[in-house]
Amino acid sequence: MTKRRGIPILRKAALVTFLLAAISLPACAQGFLKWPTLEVFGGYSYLGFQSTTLGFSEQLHMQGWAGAVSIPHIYSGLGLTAEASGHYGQDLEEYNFMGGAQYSIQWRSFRFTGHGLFGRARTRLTKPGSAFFEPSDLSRAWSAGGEVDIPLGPKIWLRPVEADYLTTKAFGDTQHSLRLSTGLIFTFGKH
Amino acid sequence: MSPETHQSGRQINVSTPLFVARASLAAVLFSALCILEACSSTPTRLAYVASGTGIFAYRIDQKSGSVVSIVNSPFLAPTSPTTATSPASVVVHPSNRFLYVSNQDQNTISLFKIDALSGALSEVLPRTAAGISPGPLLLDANGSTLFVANLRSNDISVFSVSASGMLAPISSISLGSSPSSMVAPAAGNLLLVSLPNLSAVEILSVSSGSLTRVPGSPFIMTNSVGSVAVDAQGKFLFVPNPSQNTVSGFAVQPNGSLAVVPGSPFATGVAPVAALVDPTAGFLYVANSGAGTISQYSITSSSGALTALTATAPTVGTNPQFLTLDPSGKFVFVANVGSNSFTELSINSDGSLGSTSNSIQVGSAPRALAFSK
Repeated sequence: MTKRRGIPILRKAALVTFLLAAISLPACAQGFLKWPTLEVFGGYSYLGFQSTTLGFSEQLHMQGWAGAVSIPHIYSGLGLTAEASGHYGQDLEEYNFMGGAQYSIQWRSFRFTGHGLFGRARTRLTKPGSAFFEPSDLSRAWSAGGEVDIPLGPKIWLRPVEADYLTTKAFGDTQHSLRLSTGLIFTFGKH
Repeated sequence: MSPETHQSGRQINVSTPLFVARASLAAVLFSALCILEACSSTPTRLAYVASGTGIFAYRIDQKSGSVVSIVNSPFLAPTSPTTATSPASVVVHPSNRFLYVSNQDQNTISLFKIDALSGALSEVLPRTAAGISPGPLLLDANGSTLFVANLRSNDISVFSVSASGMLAPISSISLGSSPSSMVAPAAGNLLLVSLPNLSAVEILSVSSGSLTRVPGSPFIMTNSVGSVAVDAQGKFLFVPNPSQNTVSGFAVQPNGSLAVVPGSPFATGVAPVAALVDPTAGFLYVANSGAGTISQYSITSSSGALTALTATAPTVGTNPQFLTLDPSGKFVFVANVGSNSFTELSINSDGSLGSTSNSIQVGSAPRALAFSK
C-alpha cells in the first residue's frame, strides 16, 4: 500500500529553493553578474494525460494551474527554475513538483526559454472504486519544454504559451503527456 | 548575421533566436499532433476476471487484442476493512453499466457499478441473497433476467434485473445435483446446465423467469460431463467427456430433447473439460485440461458432425479450464488455472486458432471471465 509523502515533497521544494539561492549568491559575489532577477510565474495549465496506460478508455484532458519561481539569468542566459502544477480531470488528479535548469535568449521583444525539469508527481484517483489499495501514487517525473514570454511592462511579462513533454510513472506505468500553460510573470530585482 | 543586444546587455547571435523560434513553432505543431492522436484512439472493451482474491480488471484493444490492467484492480466486495468475499463468477450487464459477482462464501450476489472511463468497480449495497455457494452466473441477452447456479443447494435461482441494476427474486428450480456451468443459446428459450456429479445435462425451458424441464431432462451421459457448449441458434450441443478424452455432439430437437450426431463421440486431448462454439457456428474448440492443449473442429452445419482441423492450435498455459469468446468474436481467451493466466488466441478465417502474443496474468486462479459489450 502506497503511503502519502507530502512532507518529503515540501522538503524537496525547500531544497530546490535553497539550491537556487546557493548557486546565485556566489555568482553575485564574483561580480560578473548583477544580483539575479527572480521571476514568479502563475497561470492556467492544460494537461493531456496519457491515462490509457492506467486502463482508462481515453486520454484525459485536464485543466488546472501552474506556478514557477525562476532565476533566469545566473550565467549567460542559463538559469534555474522550480515549478509546481496541479491538474484536475474526470476520475483523476495530477500534481507535479519539479526543478531544473533553463536557458533563455532574447529576440526583439520576445524571450524564448527552454528547460529540463526533474521531480515528483502525485497522481490520485478520485473515483477509485471498491478496492483495498491506496488510490494515490507518488512517482518520478521529468519534463522538457519551452516557453515564449512577451514584456507587458517593466515588472510584468505575458507568457502566451509554455509547452512541456511530461513523463510520469504513476502506479508503476509510464505516462507520456503534454502540458500547455499560459499566464503572467512578475519580476523582482533588476535585469 | 548581425548580433543583437540582449535585454540584459549580452550580445547574442541572431541565428540562435531564429532557431529557437523555429523550434518553438515545431513544438506547438508537435503538441497539436499529440492532441489529434489522442482523440483518435482505437476502441476498447473491459474484461473482468473473478478469482478467489477479487475481481481483476483489464482493458482490451478491440483491434490488436492488447491488454492493459485497470489501475487499482483487483476490486472487491469487502466484508471488513481488510477482508472481502471470494468471487466465483462474474457477468457484465449488456448496458455495460453493471456487473454482478457471485460471492461463494457469503451466499450472496454483489452488484457493482462500472465507471466507463476508468473501468473501476464500485459495489452497490445491499447484496442479494442467493442459494448456498453460488457459482456460475448467466444473464439473458437483453439483461432482464439473471440465472445463478448454486453449487451446494443444487439449484438455480432466477432474478429479475431492474433499470437501476438491482435484483429481485423470481423463481428457483432444484436440480438434484451440483450445477457446474450454464449456457443459453441466443435464439430460443432454453437453458442448458452441466451436472458433472450426475454425468448429465439438464435442459430447462425459460418462460417469464420460470424454469421447467423439457421432456426427458436431465439427459444422462455415459461418458462423464464437462462444461457444455451450444451454438447461437441452439441447434447443436457439445459435451466434453473428461474421463473418456472425447467430446459428444447432440442435435437439439424443437422440443428440447437430444439426438446424437453422426460419429459422436469425437476424440480430444487428455481430460477435456470445456467447449466453445465460434460465432459462425462453424467451429468447435475444446480445452484439454490434462494435456494443456486446445482441440479444434469444424462443425458440419447440416448434421453437427465434427471434423478435426489439421492445423495445430497454439500452446496455452497449464490446466486450461474454460474458454471465453470476446464479444467481437475475433478472440478466444483460454483460462489456465494452473498458471493463473489467460492465453489470448485469435480465430483465423479457416477457423483455426492463432497466437496473438497477448496474455493476461491474474493474481490467483481465474474462475470466470466477462467482457463489456
